Amino acid sequence: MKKTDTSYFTLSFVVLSLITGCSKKYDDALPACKFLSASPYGPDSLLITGEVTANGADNVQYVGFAYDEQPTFDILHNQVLLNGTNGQFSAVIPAIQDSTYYIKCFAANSFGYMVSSLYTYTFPVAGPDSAPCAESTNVIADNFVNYTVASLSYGPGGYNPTGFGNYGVQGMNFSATETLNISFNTVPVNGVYTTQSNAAFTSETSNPFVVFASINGYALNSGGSIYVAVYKSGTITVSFCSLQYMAFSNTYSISAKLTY
Amino acid sequence: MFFTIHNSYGQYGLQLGPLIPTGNYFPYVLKPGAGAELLVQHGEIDSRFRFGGSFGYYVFQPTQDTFQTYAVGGLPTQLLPGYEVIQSYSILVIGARSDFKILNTDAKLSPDVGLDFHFHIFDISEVDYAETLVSSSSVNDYYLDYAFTLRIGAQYQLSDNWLLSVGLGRNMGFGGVYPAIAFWQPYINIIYYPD
Repeated sequence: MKKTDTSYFTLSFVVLSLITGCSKKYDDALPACKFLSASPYGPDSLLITGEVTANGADNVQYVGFAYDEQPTFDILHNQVLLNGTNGQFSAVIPAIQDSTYYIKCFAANSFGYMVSSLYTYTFPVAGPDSAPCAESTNVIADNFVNYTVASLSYGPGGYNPTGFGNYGVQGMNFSATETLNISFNTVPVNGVYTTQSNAAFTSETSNPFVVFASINGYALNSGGSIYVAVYKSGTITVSFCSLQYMAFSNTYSISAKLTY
Repeated sequence: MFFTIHNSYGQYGLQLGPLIPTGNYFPYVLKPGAGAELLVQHGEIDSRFRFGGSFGYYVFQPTQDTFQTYAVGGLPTQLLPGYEVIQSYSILVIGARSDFKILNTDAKLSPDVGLDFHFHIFDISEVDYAETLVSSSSVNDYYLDYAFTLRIGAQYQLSDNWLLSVGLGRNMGFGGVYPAIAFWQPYINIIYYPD
């Protein structure tokens, strides 16, 4: 009798466990994402980044963003749709400086989709930047020897080797023995640019704040800072302090300030 | 519910129990379905091997009133928010069954195993919607698949005419048009063996 009671109790326990344990919540099957950050990407774009925080019960098939200048909108509004991923995902969206944007991300798998909470970001107005050293205007200080810039050229194309950017600035002394070329990916705006010695721009995809610079054909080393100040008058100043380049197995220092 | 017939034609019984969906999809969409099966069995009450047929009906409820689904389409291609509502979901079960009593003794209580083969006829009514792309309502869509069930349990002879069985089955779908579903099937059935 005891054996029978025990058997029936065990079977009842298994059945109840199956019924209750097999019940699942639909919301647990859905993926989840959170919005991570927004940052300027050039003068008229934002780089926005989100992250998948849960796959749910199936692989994430799609991720994306939706944004608007008003806080209430659905995910069809300015939607950016991307292929699914397990980690972070990013997109570049057009934006206007001094404007506030409301952004949310979404993730979808075979069960459905979920939308993140709202993120608010104000695109700041960039201020002029100048190099932190007292260089004279339109002077190139190469290895501690000053060269006065007699010829200053700037604009799209022209002064850049093939594949190096869409806007170039060139300063040259009278005897053309000192030629400084600076190649930007796009028209320079207020900000700090980072030198990259082997930069080859594809204008749509390269970071606009990367710049290639060379003196007499010798590339400035990567990782240096070049400052751009754009004034309301339209004047532009490009300056840098003590960047380095290699020539004949030696390392030299160079500073410059070009105003045009 | 129970019929007095000549035992050469078989015995009738009733089986009750849920169908519990398993796998990585259906448990999120359907709650365990409740239902019953009418059993017809051939063999004596103390026969070690019995076979017969079953005819049953199970009704399921969705886990949500509305499922937050979507479609992808349009120009430019977008994720289009939508929803799905399962209005009704049921399965008609028709099949053959067999039981084997493990103990070859006169003991009233014995473990037993069983193997069944079924046709499953799904009857589904639902509403689907995705902005700008999908808006449909289907009523009584029918789908067919096949299934076999492995059962293990115990039987107890209540009297010379009544046999009670309880157990657990694993019902596994295959073939057909509808995606194959596997269920756990705990059951209790009682069969009447006329004199």
